[in-house]
Amino acid sequence: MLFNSIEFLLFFPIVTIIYFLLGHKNRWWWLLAASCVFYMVFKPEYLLILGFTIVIDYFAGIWIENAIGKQKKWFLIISLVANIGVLAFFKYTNFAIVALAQANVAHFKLLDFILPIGLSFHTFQAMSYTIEVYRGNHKAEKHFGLYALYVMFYPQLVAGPIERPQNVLHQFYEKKNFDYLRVTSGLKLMAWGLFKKVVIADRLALFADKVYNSPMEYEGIPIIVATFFFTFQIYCDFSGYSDIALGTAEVMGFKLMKNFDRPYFSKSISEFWRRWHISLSTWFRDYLYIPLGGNRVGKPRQYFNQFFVFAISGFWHGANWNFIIWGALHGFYLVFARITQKQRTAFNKITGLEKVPFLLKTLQGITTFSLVAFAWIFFRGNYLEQSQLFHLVSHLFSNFPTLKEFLTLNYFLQNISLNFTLVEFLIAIGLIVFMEIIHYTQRDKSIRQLVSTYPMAARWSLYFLFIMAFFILGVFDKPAQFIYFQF
Amino acid sequence: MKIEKFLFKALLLTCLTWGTVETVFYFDPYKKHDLEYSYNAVIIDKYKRLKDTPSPKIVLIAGSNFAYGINSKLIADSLQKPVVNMAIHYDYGTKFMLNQISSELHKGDTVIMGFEYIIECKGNKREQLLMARYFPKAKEWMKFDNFFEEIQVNGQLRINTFKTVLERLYKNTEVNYQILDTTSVFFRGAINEYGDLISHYNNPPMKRIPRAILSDKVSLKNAINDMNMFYEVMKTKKVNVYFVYPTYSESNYVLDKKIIDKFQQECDKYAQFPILGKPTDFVFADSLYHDMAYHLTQKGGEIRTQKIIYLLSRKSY
Repeated sequence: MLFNSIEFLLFFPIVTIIYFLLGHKNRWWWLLAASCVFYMVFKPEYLLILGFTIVIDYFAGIWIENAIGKQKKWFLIISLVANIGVLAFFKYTNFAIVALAQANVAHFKLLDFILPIGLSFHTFQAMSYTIEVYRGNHKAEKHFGLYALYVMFYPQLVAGPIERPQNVLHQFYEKKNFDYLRVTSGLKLMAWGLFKKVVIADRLALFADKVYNSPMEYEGIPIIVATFFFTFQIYCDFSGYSDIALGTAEVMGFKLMKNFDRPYFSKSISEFWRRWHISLSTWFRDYLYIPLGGNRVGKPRQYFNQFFVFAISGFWHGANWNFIIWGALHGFYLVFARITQKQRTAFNKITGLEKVPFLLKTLQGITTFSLVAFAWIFFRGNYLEQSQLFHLVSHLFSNFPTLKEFLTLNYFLQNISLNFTLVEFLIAIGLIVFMEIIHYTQRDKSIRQLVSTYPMAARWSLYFLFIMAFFILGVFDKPAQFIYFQF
Repeated sequence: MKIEKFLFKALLLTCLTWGTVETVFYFDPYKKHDLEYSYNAVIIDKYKRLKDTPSPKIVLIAGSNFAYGINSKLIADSLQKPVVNMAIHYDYGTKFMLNQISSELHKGDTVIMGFEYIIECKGNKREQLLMARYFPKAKEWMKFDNFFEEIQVNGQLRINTFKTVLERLYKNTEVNYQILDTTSVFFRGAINEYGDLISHYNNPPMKRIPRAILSDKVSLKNAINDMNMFYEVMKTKKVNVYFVYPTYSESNYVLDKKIIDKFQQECDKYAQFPILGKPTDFVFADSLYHDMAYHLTQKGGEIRTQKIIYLLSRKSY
């Protein structure tokens, strides 16, 4: 079920009201049943895949806890093989078949099935459980229903945040009462997430799609403009989803981990990854980078590990070379930044930039944003043919106009507003600015809490205007799926 | 605060906001104007002619390729039967368009279907519902997949109307299309007595016909299935049903030949209804097209109509 669908508009209040009406003891099965329904809307039979890994991991958790010595490791391996096996089979088999055929090694028939939705998310969440039990950081969950709910909890089932057992499982045991302030705070977060998706992301998509759907027709500035819009589109799309997930959970009294923290304000790529898709970055850090040696190994090995982890992270997103390139590019950025750290510090000192922190931070911010945006070209171009993607990258800085041409209305309309009207272009830009102002303001204080302190008339007027803006500015013609659902 | 009080407040806010949208939808100050000028409202005149024309009659049904490129008078004069051109827009889909005409067809009538290569079976529900806004009977021709789709499409129509009304109030402009002007095409008064679109006759055609969008991933199977079912029902009513391929500009045909060949193969394989001619019969020089690969000029329309008459007569019509 999509968060931006009519089905969810009915599903959410029904599930939530009944959840609060039920006694604490009965809530787990109600949430589990609701989560099953939520998932089955996509493809009912895929519930069996989830069921399979849930059963394996549930028992693996108990076996790991009760095992002695090397047995522990074997049970962990069983769990990991089952999870990675399911993921590999459904997500990467066809990729492998194509790669083998392209390399002329072997030719197999492609498998004909649709990728189970959110597979990478719930598989990673399930793996985090058995790993944490193995590490002794969490006790094995004995209640099968609650363990199943940990994997299937509908707000974060299909696109995260990828939770850890320590953060979520204990919350299912806690009695949640109806708390007006918490419920309204959760609803506000949901509304903001939906606004980011339907109003901002889907609107920016109109601009980005124009170029990315016919890439060969564009050169230079239109590609840069479309990539700029996609950079914000994917952020609003995914962080919008996360906000709805967090808000939905908050309404029912659950606290999920924060997944985004103003990533485009980052001043370095490593900072970007501490602010973007936090639940995945920390997953890779905790369960792959550190086990590979982390920072405890020599510099060359550290660099390799960092590059490798990011390439794998790209592969996690999709069975496609573009995603691998996207991940590897980020890995390269990070390694390059570490290697050139001394030289860059020296450069800042020589040029005097060090003495003007604001300018330095601004330059760092712009550089980081540009590098991230460049990498998104590969991410967005995952459906494109190689020649089209090559065209986009190789023509990014070509066919630039003269200043005189650049300043004409005709050039603006054709190449910058991409044949959308000036008003439509300004609305798109205005929405980005509005969103970032809201996020910037939220650094110190929660706007949701601030709004709660307003007098009733002001609050209601604000709610009314917000909903009206949602109707007026939202893109409802083509209800779009969340980008991260495909992973 | 108790849950009941919260629910009451939530309900009140919903009523206030959605109520505003509903109010604008029902008291739309432009509805009367749109009823007079909207292209979707052209169904009122076309359906009236369909209902009023005695059998045996010839009914043409398709998207805009028939609306633009048919000279119904030529057919009527040649075949000595009254003609009703019901074609409006491909996006209504085959199911909806065939439902549109089926109840008004009687023994001895002839139907010529000429759906575009981009035709879909289900069609665009919002376009259908918009037509129903001006012509409530159109609701009978619609079929929603489920309850959620019905709510969604109705909601979208209301939100779109809300946006449009606000925009029009802000801009304070009212466009009155005229058949004699050299720019407007789609409006209620754009058709002649048979239902042919004639508003483009005195508009300058495009110098270069743009590239049409045809995907090799698309299949006509579902649309053919709809036409098969329609054909079966019409057979019992003793109504003759034929299919002709849509017109397509030469430059686009060259580029899309593979896909069109695939569509032709699908028609040959699955169609139970008689097909008049082949796709190439309706491929003409770009100079005979008005603004896109499916839209013929007046002259192009006449040439194409002659071809249909010829093919029909060869079928010992």
